[in-house]
Parts: sequence; C-alpha cells; structure tokens
Amino acid sequence: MAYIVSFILAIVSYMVIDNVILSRYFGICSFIGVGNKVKSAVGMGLAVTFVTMMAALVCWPIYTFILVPAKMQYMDTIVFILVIASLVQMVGFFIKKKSISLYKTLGIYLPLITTNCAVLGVVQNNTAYDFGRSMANALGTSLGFVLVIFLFACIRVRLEGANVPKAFKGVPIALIVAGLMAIVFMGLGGMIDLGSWGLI
Amino acid sequence: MDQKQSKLRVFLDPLLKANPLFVMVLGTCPALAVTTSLESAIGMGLLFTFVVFFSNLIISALRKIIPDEVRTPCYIVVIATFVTVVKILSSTFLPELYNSLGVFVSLLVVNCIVLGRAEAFASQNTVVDSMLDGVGNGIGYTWAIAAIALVREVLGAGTLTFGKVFTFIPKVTLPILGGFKNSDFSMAMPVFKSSAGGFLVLGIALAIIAAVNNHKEQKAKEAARAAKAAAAAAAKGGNN
Amino acid sequence: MNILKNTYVKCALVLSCICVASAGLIGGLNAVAEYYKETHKSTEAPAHIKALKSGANFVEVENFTPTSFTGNNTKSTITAVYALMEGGKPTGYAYEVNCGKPVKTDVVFSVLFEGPATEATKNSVKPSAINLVEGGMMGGDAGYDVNVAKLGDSIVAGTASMNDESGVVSGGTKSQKFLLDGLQFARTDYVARINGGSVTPVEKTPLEEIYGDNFKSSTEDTTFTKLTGTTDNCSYEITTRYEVTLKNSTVTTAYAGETSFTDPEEGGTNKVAIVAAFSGDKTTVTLDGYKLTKNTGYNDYKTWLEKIKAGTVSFDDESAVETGSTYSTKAVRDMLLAMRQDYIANYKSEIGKLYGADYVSDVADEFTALAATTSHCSYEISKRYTVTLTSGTGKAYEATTSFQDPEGETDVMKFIAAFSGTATDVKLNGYKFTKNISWDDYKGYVDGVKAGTTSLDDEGAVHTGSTLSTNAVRDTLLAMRADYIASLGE
Repeated sequence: MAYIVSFILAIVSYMVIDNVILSRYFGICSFIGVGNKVKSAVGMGLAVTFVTMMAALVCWPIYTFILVPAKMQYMDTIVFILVIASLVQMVGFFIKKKSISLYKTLGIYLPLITTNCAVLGVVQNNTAYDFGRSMANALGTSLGFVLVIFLFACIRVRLEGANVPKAFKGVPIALIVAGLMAIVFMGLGGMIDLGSWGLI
Repeated sequence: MDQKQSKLRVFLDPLLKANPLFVMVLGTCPALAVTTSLESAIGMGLLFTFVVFFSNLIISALRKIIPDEVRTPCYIVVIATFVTVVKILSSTFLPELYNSLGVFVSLLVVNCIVLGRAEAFASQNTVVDSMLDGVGNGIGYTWAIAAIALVREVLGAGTLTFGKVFTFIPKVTLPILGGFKNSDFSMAMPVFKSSAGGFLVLGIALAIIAAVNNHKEQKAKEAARAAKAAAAAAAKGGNN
Repeated sequence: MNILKNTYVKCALVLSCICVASAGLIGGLNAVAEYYKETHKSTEAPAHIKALKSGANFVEVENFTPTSFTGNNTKSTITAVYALMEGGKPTGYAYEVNCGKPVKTDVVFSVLFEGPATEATKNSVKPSAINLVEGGMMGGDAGYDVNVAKLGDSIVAGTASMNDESGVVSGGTKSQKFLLDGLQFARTDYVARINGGSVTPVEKTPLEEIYGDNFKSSTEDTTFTKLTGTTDNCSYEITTRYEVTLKNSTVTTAYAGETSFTDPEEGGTNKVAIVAAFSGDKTTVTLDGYKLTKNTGYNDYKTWLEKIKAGTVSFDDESAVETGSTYSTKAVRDMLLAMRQDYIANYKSEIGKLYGADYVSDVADEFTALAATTSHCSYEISKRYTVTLTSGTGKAYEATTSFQDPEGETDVMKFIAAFSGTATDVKLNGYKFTKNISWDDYKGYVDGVKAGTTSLDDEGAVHTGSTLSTNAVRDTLLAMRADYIASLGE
C-alpha cells in the first residue's frame, strides 16, 4: 500500500512540482513550436507520452541488464537514442495507419519527438533509479509535458487576439508566458518531499 | 576571391546573421539549463563546438557513401558517437564541468542545431566548408548562451564566479550587484537563477533582436520607398 | 558486386560499418581514459583540497591511515591529510573529514589550518578555509546544506566560534553540529601535527581501541585516589579509574596503571603500563579488553592477557602464568588483581546507580508480577527489589509498559524505577529506561517527578508532545508507588 502511495506521489512530483518543461528545461523546442492549435498540441503530447513510456520501459532493462554487467555504461547514449529513433518510426507508422488526419496535423513534429530532450532526458536520468522510480519518472514527466503543452496552447489561443508589441510577437511573448507559468509552478515547490517518503 | 568570400561567409554567418540560438531559435534547452553560471555556459559551448565540428566533418566526409534512406539513423549514430567521446573526455579531464552540466552533455545528441547542420549543410557541402560551418555555429552558439548566462548570473547571483568549473583558473568571485566583502548588501534578484528567469531573459533577448530587425526592416523599406520615389521622380523628370 | 547496388544491403552495410567504427572508437577512447584516470589519480591533490588555497602546493602526507574520533554528536573520520608546503616546509595542513550522516547524506568537508598553534592557544585557532563537499541533507537547493556552508564560512570569517554551538542556526542543526565535531577533531590533529610532534596520526585513546565502534564516551572518576601497592613480584600504581559509556547504553569501568619490576637478567627496572577494561558484577569479573601503553621486551604476558580475556584462564590461577616472561606476567597479574579488587569494591548494581551514594545493597524479592490495563496502557511490573540504604530502605521495580501509538502500532517501554521514603512522602530516587521509544518527552516529566517539582498525582502535569507515552509511564509509576506504600505497611 505504502509503495503504491509513494509511486503516485512520485508521479505527481515529477508531473507538477518538478515539471519537465518549466522546471527541468526539457522539451522546450517543441513547446515553443506548438502553436495555438489545442488539439494538435494534445495529440503531440500524447504521442510524446507513448514514446517516453515505451522508451523508458525498454531502455532501463537494457541499461541495467546488458550495459552495466558488460561495463559498457558509456554506450548508453548511443543505445538510448537508437531505441528512441526506432520507437518514433514505429509510432509514426502506427499513426499513419490509424489516422491520416492526425498524421497530417502532426506533420514535422512527429519525427521531431526523436530530438525532444524530454524523452532522452528521462531515459538518461532513469539509469540512476530503480525500476519503479524510473517508470514513475517517465509517466510523471510525460503527463507533465501534456499538461503544460495543453495549458500553453490554450493561452496562445488568447494571445492571438491580444495586442502584443511588435518585437514580442511570436516566440518572445511565448517565452515570457512560459516564464510566468514557471513562476506559478515554482510555488508548488517543496510540496512533496520525496526524501521523507524514503524515495531518495 | 569569390571562393574565399564564400568560405568566410560560411564561417561568419552563424556568428551573427544566422545565429543558431538568437535567429533560428534552436538548441533552447541547454540555453536555459546551463546558463545560471557564465563558466558552465562557456564550458557547454566548448563541448558543443567539439561535437558539431567533428560530426560535420565526418558526415560531410561520408556524404557520398551514406544512402538516402538511412541517412537520419546514420547521422544520429555519428553524432551520438562524438557526444559519447566528449562525455568520456570531459569526465576524465574536466570532471567539474561534466558534473555541473549533468545530463545536458548527453542531450547534445538531440540538440536541434547539431542534427540540423548535419542535415542542412554537412550532407551537401565539402569537408572544409562543413568544418568552417561547424566552428562558426559553435562559436555563435557559445557567445549566445554566454551572453544569456552573463545576464542571468549577474542579475541572479550578483556576482561572477570563475574557477569553480575550470579548476585550473584560481577561484575568483567578482562582486557586481552583491556579494561585497563584509556586507550582506545585495541587489541580486534570485528569480533570474530559477527557470522562470531563464525564460524571461531569453524572451526579452529575442524580443530585442526582433526589435532591431524590425527597425532595420523599417529603414530598408523606407530606403526602398525613397529610392522608388527618387527613381519615379527621375523617370518623370526624364520624361519632361 | 551487384549485390552492393541493392539499396537494402547498402543501407545495412553502411549503417553497420558506422556502428562498428563508432563502437571501436568509443571503446578505445574509454580504455585510454580509464588508464589515464588510474595513473593520474594519486599525485594531485583533489579539487576540493586545492580549492582551499588557490595556487598552493598541497602534498599528501605519507603513511596516513584514516583516524576517527567520537565527539559530542558524531564520530568523525579524517580520511586524508595534505601538507601545505611553502618554501619546502609545511606551514599548514589541509584535512578531508567525513562526519557521518546526520540525515540523508554524509557531512564531508575539507578544511585548511595554517600558522602556529599550541595546546594552550588551541581554542583560538580557527581554520583559514573550509570547503563543504557534501552537506548532510539532500544537497543543492535544500536550505539545510546552505546553513552548514554558512556556518563554515562564518567560522572562517571569525564571526562564529567552532568551540561551541553558539553559531548554530535553525534549519539543519544536526548537520551543523556534525560539522563542529569534525572541525574540532581536525584542529586537534593540527595542533599536534604542526608542532612536528605527531608525524604519526592522532591515535585513538586506549579506551577507543579497546571498545572499538562500541565506544561512546568516557569520564575519569574524580573520586578515585591513586592505588599503589608492592608485592613480591612488582610495585604498581593504578592511576586512573574510568567510567566508560558504550553505544548500547551499558556502563563499565576501566583502569589505567603502571607496574614495575626488576629485570632478572639485566637488573634494571622494567615498566609495563596498561589500560584494562572490566565488566561483570561482584561475583564474576571479566576482562573485556586491554591496551598496553608501555611495553617491555619479553612480552609473553600478552598471551596470558589474551587467555584471561578469552576466559580460558582465571585471574586466581597463579600457576597459569606463562613461562618465558614469568616475571613480567606476574607483575602485570598482581596489578590486575588489585584493579579487580577495586572494581568489586566500587561495583554498583544497576539499582545502586539509581540511588547513588545512599545505596548499600539490594536483594530481589519474592514477587508475583503485577499486571493491569488502564485507559492509557497495559503494564506488567515483573520484579521488585528491597534496597538497603544508609538512610533506611526502599524498593525498586522493573516493569514493562505498552500502549497504542497514533499510527496503530504497539509501543513497548521497559524501565526500572527506584523509590524510597515514607508512606506519605514517597520519593522517586531514580529511573532507567532499558527499552525506549523515540518520542521521549516523558523523560522530562519523570525528571520532574524525581526532582519533586512535579507531583505524580497531578494528571495535568503530563507533558504534551508525548502525551500517550507519558501517561503510560505515569500509570505504571502510580502502580509501583501504590505497591511501595502497601509494602511499607507490611
């Protein structure tokens, strides 16, 4: 029971308190480029979630059971990125088959998931955790990513109609908005102390 | 002369006109993550230059051999190789830098700039050009993140600290807005050290650049209009 | 060659070639890096030592083995010592100290002491630089680490003292106290080392060596007067008696003494000095350990000492003295017998300690255990002792009490309580918990009862903060007191 609770707390912690984009600085390129289409933003968020979960599921055993015993930890980056690239290919294939429209809306962003810092970042960080915590990290990170992307897209819809000074139009104002969101999320800091739950 | 001009162009463009961070808005993740300290930013820039230089070199050298269908995986493997090389080298010779940059050294693999240059330039240009492009992008990116780091560290911590990451320099702390000897006075605003500050600084930097560009555009438009008007007047005058 | 024109084959070939090349490059580089790390590891002082004084030449002290010392709050270990060499001479020493784990991570720091220092000026010696490597909490943004670093910096700046806890601020007090212990230990070594004295590292005290990790602290018994004696074999002098507290809360006694005898061959005087630790009660005394602080050439008495310690030979057996160093062994034995005699004379049982100087003796009663359940706890008073005091008599009780804590767990406490006095004025002379729980605010309450400032009858005086445990203890004490009053009537 305690383990389940701590697992959920870890997910919440990674999702909201140590948010992947606003606090850990991953996935910013896709975050800025997401534009104001809420549906496609959420769609991409879900694709990232799927890729992250699968990648974490596959890469952690590879690291722990193959690379570490062979003392080849330095090969981790190459192995991880190849796994992620292949997963993205598979996801693209899958989406193309299932829903051509979604594939079209995602457009360039689908292969860009490969270069999304969040996926590789999560997988790299997981090498230091046990399996439970790494899955919590992956799930929490992806949910946090979807959450922030969704909020951001909603805000950008409003931003379209706002009277933004010319120099700030586009990326600069998006970054300032992200900064304000980061301040909001900063207020949640310290809410869950993973250490006191014995998770560190 | 033309050859040399264009080689110089290849090198100079990414420094200013086609700056990977400020103009193309690529590679933003490390630009926000490692810029809390000027030294770390310079260190990151150094590693980045190494990776982009060598990956450009190798990809350009192999560009005729790599088949089109597998080019992305091949590029990724090459880039990942050099990132691992840089990881090993930095953890051995510059362990403090490696520790302070953390996971972002590995994330150079998915740095949009590296992959972007490989795809857009190195795969289609000669080795020498690609090397120049690599160095140019490296320096361009380095000064860009160094500028952000300078602002963030001065405003956020009030001091500039050297010697923490590059341990062969003696550790020196320059008090600018705070950290004065024998005084607790500080005008530093810690918000700039946090992630929010990073977003704000980058946003404002991009806004400034956009403003400058807009101004230039305005001027160019006015100049063009004036030229057009002058030409029309001249034509009119000529018709008289 | 046509097969090479096939796209799939070409792709696979190119990709695999690149992969193999990359693996080779990285593997090779990794091997070189490992080799470099191995060969370059030892000579340079590590970064956190070099950072103490930039540009300075730090040379690792040779033949240094890590030494530990248990201070007020923790056991600190000096893991490395570096000499600050200026002009070919050491003008200071830098220490790498690990103070143990107050919360999550160890408190590890490096510190530099420079300049002259003596035992007399010790307390005014302060470090010239401190580098906190790990702070004790979770590192990074946790505020507590910052306070440990701040304390270190204030000590260096002179605004805080390392001699006491006045500079400790709230927010990680435990980690800061650990830092103070480590600094004091490093300074002690520095005072010895800078004066050329200890090229050998600071040694553990003999008692620390005897008890090892079990050792917590020791005090010299000031009421002890030197014991001298002369026998056929030697003349000895027992100089000190120590009360030693161990980590498992037991208290034992140790003695330091020196015995001298005439060398049978060369005629000079040989001396053997020894610190011996005893335990046991009046009927059986065992030698827990010993440390020879002064030796003679023929030292086969060590074999005899080992046998005594192991219990294969008894103190009283004169014939067991080893041949080969008969004279020295007899000399050592005579002194140990004298120590043992003093131990027996000085011995106070557990109960005796609760009564202090008043105590004469005690005897266990025939007692049927009293067990009951109250609204606060369930207790069982298992033993009762009748105690003879110089001022009269008293009774001591052993009891176990258990109660439900707010998390639903059953907490169990065991303690001994000593009573004396008349039926109308019952005194609690002392108490000792042999099984404790972590919420121990009840100690404050029981101390109040013992001092007489809190009345056992006063229900409102129960200490908040550990109300449940205090009420459990109180109920048990009330039951004990009731029995005591009843026994007075017998």
